[in-house]
Amino acid sequence: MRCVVSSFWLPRDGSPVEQYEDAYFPRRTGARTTPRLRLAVADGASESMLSGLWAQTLVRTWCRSSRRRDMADVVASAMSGWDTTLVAYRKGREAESRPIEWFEQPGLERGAHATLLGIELTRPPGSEGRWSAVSLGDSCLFQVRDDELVTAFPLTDAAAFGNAPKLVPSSARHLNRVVAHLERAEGAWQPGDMLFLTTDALAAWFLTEAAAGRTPWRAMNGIACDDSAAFAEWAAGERAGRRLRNDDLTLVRVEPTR
Amino acid sequence: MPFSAEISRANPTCFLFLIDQSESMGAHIGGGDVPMTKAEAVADAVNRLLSELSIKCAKEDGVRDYFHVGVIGYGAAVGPILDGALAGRDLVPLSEVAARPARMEERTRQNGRHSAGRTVKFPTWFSPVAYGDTPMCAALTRARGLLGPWLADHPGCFPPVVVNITDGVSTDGDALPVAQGLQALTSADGHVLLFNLHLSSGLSDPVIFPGPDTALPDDYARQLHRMSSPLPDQMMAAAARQDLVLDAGARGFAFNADISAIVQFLDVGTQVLELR
Repeated sequence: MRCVVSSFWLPRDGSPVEQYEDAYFPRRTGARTTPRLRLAVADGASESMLSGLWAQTLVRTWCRSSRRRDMADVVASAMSGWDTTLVAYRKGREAESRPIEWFEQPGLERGAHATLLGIELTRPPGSEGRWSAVSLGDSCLFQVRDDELVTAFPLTDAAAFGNAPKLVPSSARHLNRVVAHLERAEGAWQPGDMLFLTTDALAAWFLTEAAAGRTPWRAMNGIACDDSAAFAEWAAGERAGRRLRNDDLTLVRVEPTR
Repeated sequence: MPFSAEISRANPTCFLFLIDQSESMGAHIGGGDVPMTKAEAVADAVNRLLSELSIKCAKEDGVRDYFHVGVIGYGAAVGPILDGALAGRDLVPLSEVAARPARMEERTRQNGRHSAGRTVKFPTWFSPVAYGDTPMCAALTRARGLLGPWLADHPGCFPPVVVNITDGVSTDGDALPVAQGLQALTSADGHVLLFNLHLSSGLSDPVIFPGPDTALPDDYARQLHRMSSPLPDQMMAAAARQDLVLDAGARGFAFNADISAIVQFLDVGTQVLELR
């Protein structure tokens, strides 16, 4: 299987890059030949501490896990490592003479939260290409074939984006609830298809445009791999026109070619 | 559409609390587990709200200034009542509020009916006072004097929310025209919101967020109702999440509030930030 992977990201307008709390993986872009490929995007919740770090932990753990490892195992593994991350964070703060403040403690105790979308592409020898996706929350996968949207997952309607998406918490206490709410989808891919993984603001824009009979994938596909300036320019225009909500933006584009 | 401005550090909004400190605020209030005066219940609820706002806006790099906050008392005098390092300050960015509580108390929080409970930190920024008259007109005038320049500096903000907490009738004139003057202040996103929270020491049932045609017990209640802004959509939605069934056009007004109604009122009336 050969794929070209491109990724684009931006913090919300007015925020420095350090405050970007989405995450995506793999970080390496460009063409690759591989029997299987895992990709993921996640959106750290604004109203929790260390949610950007948690989002990164989730996408890395999914993408670096073996094929046999299901999302339930991946989330369990990420949760089990979180206490170690927290201990290191607290030590780091003490080393900087910035001990945890009273207003941070409740948030650290509540834990971090993020949406998560992970997909896996495969092409068994002699068979057609397959994709499978697992999601919790409103990060979305779109599949486009022959200039038509053929899959939108897990959300299919821009009106479904609210302010309370389902989230993966860092606390292992909630593992069973997370596993029960995971949504799954699978399908076939063909050379020439385009797959887009996006966090919510871009996904809502995409579905709004598609519902209006337009072709948002052309804009998403028109930006050259690694041309972050073109993506920023495009986003600035859409934000200024109030068509795109001012939020962190993440797009991972996958083009399987054979 | 009004009341839709994004709240960010570049475009913060403002909460201004006007707290009646008149002598009658020393009377007891119902509705809580522990006997309390009205002044104590209000100080407790507003201090807790400041603490919860700080926690809600805390991130790894500090507390984000989505809000500027002020607490004005009116009784024997009219003016800012934050204590400690913030004494004399009127509208303070939330990060400074979080960094400088006047006192850090330790309180026991019950984790369940049978558990021993655990000690949590409870910061306070001001203390209960009950002494003097009820110069509500002066307090509303002070609010207008603070918010006018603040709006000039933040012309695109989500409109400031003023919460007037009182148990009595204004002793320095008719508050209605002064309140209307305050509500006439505007940002590009809408008029200043004035909410009135009236406290009771009696056993009357609270009336919370009445609609435009809700029957109210007396002229005083009707006047406070007229002085209160309609709730914007996000607060109507917050009320619905608390299973409150409100009439269309419900106003930010409570009459005869007890302790639990104070908490509910402040929770709904400050739901402006859509963090996710």
